[in-house]
Amino acid sequence: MLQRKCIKAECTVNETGICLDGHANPEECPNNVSDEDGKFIPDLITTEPNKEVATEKQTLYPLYAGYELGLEEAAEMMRKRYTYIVGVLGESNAGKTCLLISLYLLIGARQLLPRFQFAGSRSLQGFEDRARRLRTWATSGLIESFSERTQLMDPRRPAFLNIAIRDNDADNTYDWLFSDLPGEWTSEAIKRLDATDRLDFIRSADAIIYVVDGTDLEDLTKRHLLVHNTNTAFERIKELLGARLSVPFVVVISKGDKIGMKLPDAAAELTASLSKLGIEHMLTIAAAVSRDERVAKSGEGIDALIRYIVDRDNASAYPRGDVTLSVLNRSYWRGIS
Amino acid sequence: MTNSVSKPPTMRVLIVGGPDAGKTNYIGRLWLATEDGKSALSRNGLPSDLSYLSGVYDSILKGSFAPRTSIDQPATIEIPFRITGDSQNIGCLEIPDCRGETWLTISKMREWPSGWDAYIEDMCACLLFVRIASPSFQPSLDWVTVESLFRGLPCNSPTQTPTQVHLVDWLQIITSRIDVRKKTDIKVRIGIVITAWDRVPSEQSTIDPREYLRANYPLLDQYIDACSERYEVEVFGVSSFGGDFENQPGYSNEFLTTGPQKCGYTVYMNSRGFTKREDVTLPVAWCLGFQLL
Repeated sequence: MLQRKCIKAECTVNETGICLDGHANPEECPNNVSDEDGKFIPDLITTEPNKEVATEKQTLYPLYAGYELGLEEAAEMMRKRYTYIVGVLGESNAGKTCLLISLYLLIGARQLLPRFQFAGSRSLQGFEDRARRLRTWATSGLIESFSERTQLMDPRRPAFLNIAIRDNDADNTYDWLFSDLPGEWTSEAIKRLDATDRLDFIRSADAIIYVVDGTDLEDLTKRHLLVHNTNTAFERIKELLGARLSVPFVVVISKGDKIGMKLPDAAAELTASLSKLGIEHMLTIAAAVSRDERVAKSGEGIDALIRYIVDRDNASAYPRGDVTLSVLNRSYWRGIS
Repeated sequence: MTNSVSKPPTMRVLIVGGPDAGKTNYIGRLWLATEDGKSALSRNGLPSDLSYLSGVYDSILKGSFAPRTSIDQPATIEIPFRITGDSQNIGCLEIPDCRGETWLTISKMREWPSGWDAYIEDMCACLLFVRIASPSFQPSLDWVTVESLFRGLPCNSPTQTPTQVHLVDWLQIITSRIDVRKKTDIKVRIGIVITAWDRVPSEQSTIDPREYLRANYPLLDQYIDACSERYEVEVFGVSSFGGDFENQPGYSNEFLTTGPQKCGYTVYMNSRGFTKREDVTLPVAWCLGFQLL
């Protein structure tokens, strides 16, 4: 079905159903047109501070985009506020985005209280659109199932989703920046060392979350290749981390509701691999969005991984200090107090 | 807020809220309340342009809700006021465009009208409106819907942004403009006005309005609590007319018979607990620094 939209900039008929020009049936308004091109790849919206747009009525100042942050915007935030950069990695369809959506819904519904509290987000619409499958990577394998309203993001540029989380136990608030990357980035990095350049920000990450598809880990025909690839990914990540092997590292076995919330036997191989690499870690199972509440509630396991990251950080178990984030050939010092 | 010589100081209050949040009806009722001499704020003369306000109170005085604010209405409302009982404390209340569509446009286009920077200069006070049982209310996603979406199943998924997400976004936008203008020492006063309080179930009508917010707008509630260093917050329940002209049969007649000036109230919590006052000007008065008793 063709979508319709109003080409009048200030009209919000798509959100409210109310035509600003007063047409009882919005489709009768001459400004209401059909969108015959259902798929498009918009540029990531970037704000240019102080760039003014003069209209006939008054000047309009640009605001932050509200979907996700690019590398430079993430670096800008890091300069101004206490931040956690969390690299969320894993192969395609492992459940990375689902995990982040689950965190967003949990915290929004007060389900991480009393300890963790929502304190803001510059990615509100980004989370909302992802939850509705309205915003995803152009290389997503599930593209056929998306609606014509789905916005396809440029897979060449990393994105960060932001949630500010207040830790009531520690009486502080941090801005969390979770990377949102196409699964192909992980897959390519597994195959080729030079593909790890895209994951350069991992060198400065405050935490790593690696998501492994629990159902594939259970599946006899898939588990061996998955374990092999995942262990290879761990080695690549170790190279990126360098001396920072004590950075909080969480392996999340996803889709736990489909495997009875029990760790597959093959998970032990992942733990062994990480131990052999000298990477301290937590391995946990999660049901980000549960299909069977009798097996697991939606969001089960998310609280534990947030606690692990925060508690490890509070214990300062890994070297902090001057860390350089290389962004497009520019370096930013991130002094951590 | 004292004025010793010429022009009264201008006090600006941003009215924030989407369509059907009750803003326009509140403004109209506010104007009428400033005439009764009993409310915290009293009128101190007439604004130069009464056309917008007259379009609103015209309906109210006939026992009807005010019509939707049209795009042709003036962008700023001015009400000369004084604190009742204190003729030295006067000012001019200035309220910019309160069309809900304007705020949705700001969310959608990610652009801030430069003229509104005047509202975040020396002080910043906002009234954030949410309306009980608003036809425009958009619920947050629930797990069942998200699970269906991820499975690619057809479902009646609300595609529009949840109301509380908009509310948090708007507050963040206001804060970001304050930061851009380097006014970070400003503590923003946010009065949250839950309108149509008369539609709260009778067994809940004496609950703390903040509890209502907590239960129905958990994202917003957490946000304003977590950001207590930036915001000073008060939550009000307001019934602009004491009842519902459309959903309460016969209430329109009751309103007109009782007298418009005698209908309407504000509820809030103070040191003594739940308080109900027949004074709809209290949220604005609080924004202007009036102490709630």
